[in-house]
Amino acid sequence: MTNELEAIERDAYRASYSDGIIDIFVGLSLVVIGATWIWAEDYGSLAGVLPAVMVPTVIPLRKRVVETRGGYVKWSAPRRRWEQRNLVGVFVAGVATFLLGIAAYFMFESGGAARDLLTDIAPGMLAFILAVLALVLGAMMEQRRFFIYGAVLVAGGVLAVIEDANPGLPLLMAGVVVTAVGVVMLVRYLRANPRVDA
Amino acid sequence: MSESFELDRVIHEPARLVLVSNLYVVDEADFVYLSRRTGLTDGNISSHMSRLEKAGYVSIDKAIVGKRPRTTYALTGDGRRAFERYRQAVTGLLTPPD
Repeated sequence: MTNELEAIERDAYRASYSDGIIDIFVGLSLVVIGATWIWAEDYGSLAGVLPAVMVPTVIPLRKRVVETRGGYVKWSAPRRRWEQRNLVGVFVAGVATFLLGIAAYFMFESGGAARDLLTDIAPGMLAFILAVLALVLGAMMEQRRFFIYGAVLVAGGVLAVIEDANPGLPLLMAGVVVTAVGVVMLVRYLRANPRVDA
Repeated sequence: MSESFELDRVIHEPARLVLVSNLYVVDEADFVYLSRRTGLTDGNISSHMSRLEKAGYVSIDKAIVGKRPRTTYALTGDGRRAFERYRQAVTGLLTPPD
């Protein structure tokens, strides 16, 4: 393909993620996890339930909204292969995050300097890890705003470390920002793309 | 103008060129997608797609998806080859001699 044709395809692909629904989903998940961590720590394990319940709801909802308003498209085989490779990348990043968490646990248990370091950065650690996932997601969807979300998470994490704040605070802060951006994007998308019959 | 510089008039029309360019970079797309991406009116898209279908460059599939009608377009093999020939011809025409 020539650069011009590549640009047409790239612009169309990026535009297909301009509805903000994924942002709202990610933002609300962060808000729920952060708020649970701050105000209902005893029920922390339940914080993962909402995102898990939302995934099967969000995917068909998004497909319904986007296809009736932005249209249906089957991407080219190279683009679909690229998406599959990126999904593997997200999976690998998730596994790496999990392993990082286990490594941190054992480092903490081993005591000494590692324990002191982990104790110091504990308030921001989850925010830092989620920032990495935001960067991976941004690269996968070719959406630069996810890099900004990652930066917000890092900033919140640093703030939490400095202030020795609750680890849920940076997640709550970032979640509010991400949700607000998503809502603005969705409203713009719905206004710009009225529902039509194909 | 020599034969090598003859352009495919079916593709050369500006609106059809935009439609074919957008279809060339995907496997298939529906009416709404093409309308959003090209900014062409519904009537324009329909008439140009009929012309492209008549030339054998585009296949049109009408279906009901989720109780709603969906018209899907895809470039045929002939359509892809015709567009590639068109691009070569235009490039040859616009490239200055050494």
